[in-house]
Amino acid sequence: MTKIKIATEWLESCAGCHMSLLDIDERILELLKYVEITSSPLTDLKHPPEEGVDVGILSGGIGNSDQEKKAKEMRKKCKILVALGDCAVFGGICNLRNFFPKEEVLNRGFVETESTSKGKIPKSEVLGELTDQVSGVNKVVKVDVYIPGCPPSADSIYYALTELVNGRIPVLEGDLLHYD
Amino acid sequence: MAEITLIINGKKVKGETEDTILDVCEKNGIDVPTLCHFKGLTDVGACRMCIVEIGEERVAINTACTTQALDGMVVKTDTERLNNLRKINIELLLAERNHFCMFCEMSGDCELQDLAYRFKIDYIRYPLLFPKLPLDASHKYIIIDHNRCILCGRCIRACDELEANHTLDFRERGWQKMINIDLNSTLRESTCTSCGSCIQVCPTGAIFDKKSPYLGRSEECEFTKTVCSECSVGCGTEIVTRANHILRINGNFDSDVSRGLLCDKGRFEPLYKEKKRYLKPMVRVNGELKESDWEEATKIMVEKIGGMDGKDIAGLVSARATNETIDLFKKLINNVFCSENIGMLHGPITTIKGKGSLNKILESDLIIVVGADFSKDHKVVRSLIKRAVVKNDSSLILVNSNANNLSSYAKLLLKKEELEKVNEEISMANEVSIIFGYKISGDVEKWISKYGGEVNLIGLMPGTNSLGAYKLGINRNFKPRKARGLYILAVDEDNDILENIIEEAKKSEFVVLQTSYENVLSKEADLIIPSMMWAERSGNYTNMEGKTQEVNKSITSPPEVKDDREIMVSIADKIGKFLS
Ligand code: SF4
Ligand code: SF4
Ligand code: SF4
Ligand code: SF4
Ligand code: FES
Repeated sequence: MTKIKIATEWLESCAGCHMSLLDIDERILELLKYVEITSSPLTDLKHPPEEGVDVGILSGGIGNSDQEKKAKEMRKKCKILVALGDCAVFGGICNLRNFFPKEEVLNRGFVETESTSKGKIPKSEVLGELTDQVSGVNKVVKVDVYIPGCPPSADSIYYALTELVNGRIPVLEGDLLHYD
Repeated sequence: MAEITLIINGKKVKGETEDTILDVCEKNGIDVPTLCHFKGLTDVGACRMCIVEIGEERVAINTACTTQALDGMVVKTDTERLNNLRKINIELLLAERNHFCMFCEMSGDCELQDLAYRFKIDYIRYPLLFPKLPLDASHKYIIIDHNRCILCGRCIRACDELEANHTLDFRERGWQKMINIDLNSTLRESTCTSCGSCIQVCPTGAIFDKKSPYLGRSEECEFTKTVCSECSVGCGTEIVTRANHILRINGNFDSDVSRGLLCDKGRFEPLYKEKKRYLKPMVRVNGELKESDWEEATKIMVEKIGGMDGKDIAGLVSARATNETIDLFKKLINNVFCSENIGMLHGPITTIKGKGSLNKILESDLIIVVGADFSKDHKVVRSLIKRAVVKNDSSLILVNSNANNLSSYAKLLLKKEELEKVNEEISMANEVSIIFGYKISGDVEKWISKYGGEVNLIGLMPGTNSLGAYKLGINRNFKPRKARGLYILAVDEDNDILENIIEEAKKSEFVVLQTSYENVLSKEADLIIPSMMWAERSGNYTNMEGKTQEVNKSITSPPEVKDDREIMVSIADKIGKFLS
């Protein structure tokens, strides 16, 4: 049987959702019988393979142009795109900055912090540029599966993955659906 | 009211002519999602969650909570169309303000979140708005976070209909609509009476108390129904605890005394008192109180008090003690110490007693308040009076009443010398309530007793269980001069009551003080016996209406603190007498 290929990536994220993925513990061995994780921020290979994957998983919101690019790349390379965690679903805790104008946020972060002297707002072509507001990934790409939670529980993630392995689109409910 | 029949979801169900569709559904166990509806408050149809389909050929969609049920109506509550509309509704609410549950203190206990889960909402189809709204943390006990508000108006209705205070209302329209406090005041500077009703009815994390956030969700907590021990109204409470700690005091909407209402003294103050707890018996040695143990404490008690002649012994008990404890204390003083000298810490109560009911205040067209002060306790009575005046158009006459916050509701303010002026008003009214304070005497008492049989007569009591103690035969027997040995069962009594007997205690040779906390009498005590505090006691209280209500313990006392009754039994035992 050919294994289902999965690639993951984190965007504006604290890595908590990926930790929760690891929290499925020994069940990951069972899963690996049916699944090949081609690339992820936790593995040596970081980028999804050229030939693409079956399932792409994104955690974290879209907060700068670099993250936007990564989200679009993942969308192009996967058949089913999963938004994992509140940040990917609707911006999550990253949304906090949406209550302030972008300039104020940058100033506070790079110039006005108490520990900063002679601060400067970084600007360079290799750095992503901050978006005006943070958003979930569905603002820039089409999302097929949403798994909210901050982070989603290991059970929710495991359930969603087993449904995908079995060719079904997961529908979370009961204890598996939570926003905190 | 006549019976009507409706067809709901294809089944014949019964209701009554005055029912809304929601009432009929509730009576028949048909679950309809609601959000702005709260039992006991007027329905306003604000949230549109309870929408139902009405009719067969031409189907109308309307809110079940505000649509009157009619005989023969055909109603559907659970169609795909309705559920899609409900979903849109919830998503719009979530998108409108800050509903990022991961840092909300209500997460896990939020009715909006529950509905979102119920309708399996895993993302929001609409753009989030991110309005920058204020959070008002100015009040001593309460926080209002407009960011979590869904404008259901429950708090407004609770403030207006339960507390009759109307501090809260809406301002602006459309998506700028906000909860407004007085004339755009902060809650601290507002007319708010700190009753806390708004906290209890808010379905989301928009209004909450300052003590309990993040300390436990409902599923991790225990809930104990009991009675407030702060005054003689005897409001029904629900104590929320987790791991033997009190998180919050809620009003009990099932209580037929208070119907969910509490005052700040009952809801918040007990959680804010910082007092030193006695965990072990203390004995005075060379002028200093020294930690001791039960063995030594009972021994000293038996030697000192037990050794005295009955006529030299006196007992004083707090009205915060339960009927059972007061009864046993009386037996201990009477039968074991052979003394008749026993009384209440707050002194004797009025000769004339109320015999009315608090609920009847709301039905009275004339309310007369005589010599009553609601500034410290009995505030829920004040709320009921206000409700009667504001909502039911009752007339209020205040006689010699420092009833703060009530004078603006009164039609007449009289001095006690002018009492006779009230007679004519009474003769013209249908239902009259007379509410009198516990410091009345002489002519006033005589005037009131004239109306004793005819009106709804309510007498405020100086202590929580004063009427219970009176019924057990403790009232006017205490003769201070005769007390060489003074046994004070203070439980967790407040200093302002205890202050009155400092002089008595000073004169006594040996003072036993059974108390939960260090207090103004501690200095005079020769022996201190630790006692349970309010949340640790069980038994019964008799409120000022004469209703006897169950007091249930919500937490367990520290290991060294014994039940007051157990202590008395072991003292009697040591003396060689049986007490039960
Ligand atoms: S009020 Fe309810 S829905 Fe809003 S953030 Fe808090 S828990 Fe979530
Ligand atoms: S605490 Fe009571 S009086 Fe104050 S705003 Fe809330 S409901 Fe109104
Ligand atoms: S503060 Fe709470 S109760 Fe009041 S309108 Fe907002 S959500 Fe409703
Ligand atoms: S009115 Fe009295 S019994 Fe009621 S909550 Fe206030 S203090 Fe407690
Ligand atoms: S419950 Fe009926 S409209 Fe809110």
